[in-house]
Amino acid sequence: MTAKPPLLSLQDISVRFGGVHALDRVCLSVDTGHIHGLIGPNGAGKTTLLNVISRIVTPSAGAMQYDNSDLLTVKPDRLSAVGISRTFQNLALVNDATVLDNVMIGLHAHRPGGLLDELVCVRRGRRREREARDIAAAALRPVGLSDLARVPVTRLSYGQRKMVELARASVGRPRLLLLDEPTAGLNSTEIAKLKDTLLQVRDAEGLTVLVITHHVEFLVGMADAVTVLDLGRTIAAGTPDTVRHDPRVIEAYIGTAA
Amino acid sequence: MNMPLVCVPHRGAAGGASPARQVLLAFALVLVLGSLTGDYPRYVLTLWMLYSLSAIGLNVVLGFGKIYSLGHGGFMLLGAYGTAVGLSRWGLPVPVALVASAVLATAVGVVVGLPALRLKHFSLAIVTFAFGITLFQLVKSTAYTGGPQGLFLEVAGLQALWQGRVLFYVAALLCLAGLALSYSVMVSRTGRALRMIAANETVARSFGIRVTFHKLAAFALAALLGALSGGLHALVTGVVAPETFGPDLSILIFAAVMIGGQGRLLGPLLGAAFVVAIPELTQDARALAQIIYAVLFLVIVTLSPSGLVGMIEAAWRRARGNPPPAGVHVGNATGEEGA
Repeated sequence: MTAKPPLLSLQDISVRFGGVHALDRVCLSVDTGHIHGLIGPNGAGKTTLLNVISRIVTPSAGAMQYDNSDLLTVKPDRLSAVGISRTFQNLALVNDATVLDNVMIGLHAHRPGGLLDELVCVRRGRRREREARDIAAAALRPVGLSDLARVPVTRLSYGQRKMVELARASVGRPRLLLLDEPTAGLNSTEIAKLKDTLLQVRDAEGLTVLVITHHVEFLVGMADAVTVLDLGRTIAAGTPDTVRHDPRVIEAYIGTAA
Repeated sequence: MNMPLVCVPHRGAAGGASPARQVLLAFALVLVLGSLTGDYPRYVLTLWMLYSLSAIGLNVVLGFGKIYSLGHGGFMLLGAYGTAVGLSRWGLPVPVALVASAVLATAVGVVVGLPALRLKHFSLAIVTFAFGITLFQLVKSTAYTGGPQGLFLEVAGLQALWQGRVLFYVAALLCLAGLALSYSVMVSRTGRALRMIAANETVARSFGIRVTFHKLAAFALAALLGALSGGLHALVTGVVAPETFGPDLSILIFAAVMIGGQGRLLGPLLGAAFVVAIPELTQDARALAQIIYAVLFLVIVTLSPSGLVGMIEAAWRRARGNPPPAGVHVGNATGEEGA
């Protein structure tokens, strides 16, 4: 709609695992401030696409720009610094740490301090820790986990742990947030809450979100655009409503849904 | 003083007293004990302190980073032989020999770690184990390092200083410094990064954590503390022999960390206490010491993954009638009504 170039844009991205085309010339463009849904049946290549964007998987062909620069030249451990952050399909939390400590990991790239620093300047190290703790605590508020900050993550429910991951991914104030199946394993109340939270965070901070989900209803009323993958190819793109009624999507994914 | 509790990244902290207070209390006790007892108990306490120092180093790598290093004895060997060679061959002053050998071992740690730390789990354990064996065979077959007999150090004077109290205090203070170091790793950005790396390297990288750098830093730190411990061992016993620093030492220190409680601040001290105490208590039958140690390792590691410290913390909570750490039932309750 706007003349602004997209925040993230992928052209003809292909990924091959052995002889299998995990992704076959996928194009995707995510506009600034949009919530962009990525759907498709199992094995469609959604997570692989997210792994490409987060530089875990290097594509065999194609180009990728983020914020008008080549994303393929960004090293994986610089991703956070350029403003891209993500959650993972399988929970990837530090189990023997508290909720707050887990969230603080999301600040790693955004806060100064090394071990020598901490040893030599104990007071400055403490002050920095206190500041980081406050920032992390603030990030727990939107996901409703403020009361559980000091609890070990192992004592949380699955849904709550997913919220810890969300807080950890958003605590560094990324520009682009990649969410891999945030709705999996959540009940309908939790899904509705997540939707509110995402909209709230998007509006408050101008965040851009790319979200993989199996719940199409989750995207209706929230996503500005949806891309549908099937067997590694883009089969449809548009608003949640047009995509929902696209015959190819119905055939490939929704099946017999009316 | 209470603030760091919030960010102590392990389960036990949720229930126990402040780690800093625990440590200071324990050390005051050790210092008093070591000052008042006779020469021989003090010698044993000194050994305990220096084995603790080594285990504290390994705990940073093994406990925080879950990096399975089975070559820690190699770094102790470097410290011990470095100190011995520095003293008896080059005539260096004691502190210079000690520090120089520790610096050397740290450098070796970086050089060995750079390729080795790309490996994980079993492969890493094997490679580090081979590192320890290589050094052991090297000093055993080299005349310059005394061959199978090893080297004797002319340190009777140093050992006798104030009836051994000087070496005891040095060992205790270094051990305390090691603890302070591992505490600041534990409650800092670096410690969190190490724990995240241990949980999942890919995820760690995505948050901007430099995986190789952090693993290498931890490994080098462990090498440093291990070498200081080895150097002190040479001074305290007055002799370095290859057999003292053979492959079984690496396993012993590894087991000490596991028995005491990996990733726990005071775990290495408890573990090292067994390393020192069991052979002392079973002096007539060395094999018995090994058997007791092996059984202990099996029992404790099977019953409590967080070692003796974890067991003690659990018992402590039960004794005080405290509920387990806050929020046992928070799981579903707040999950549903949170909105």
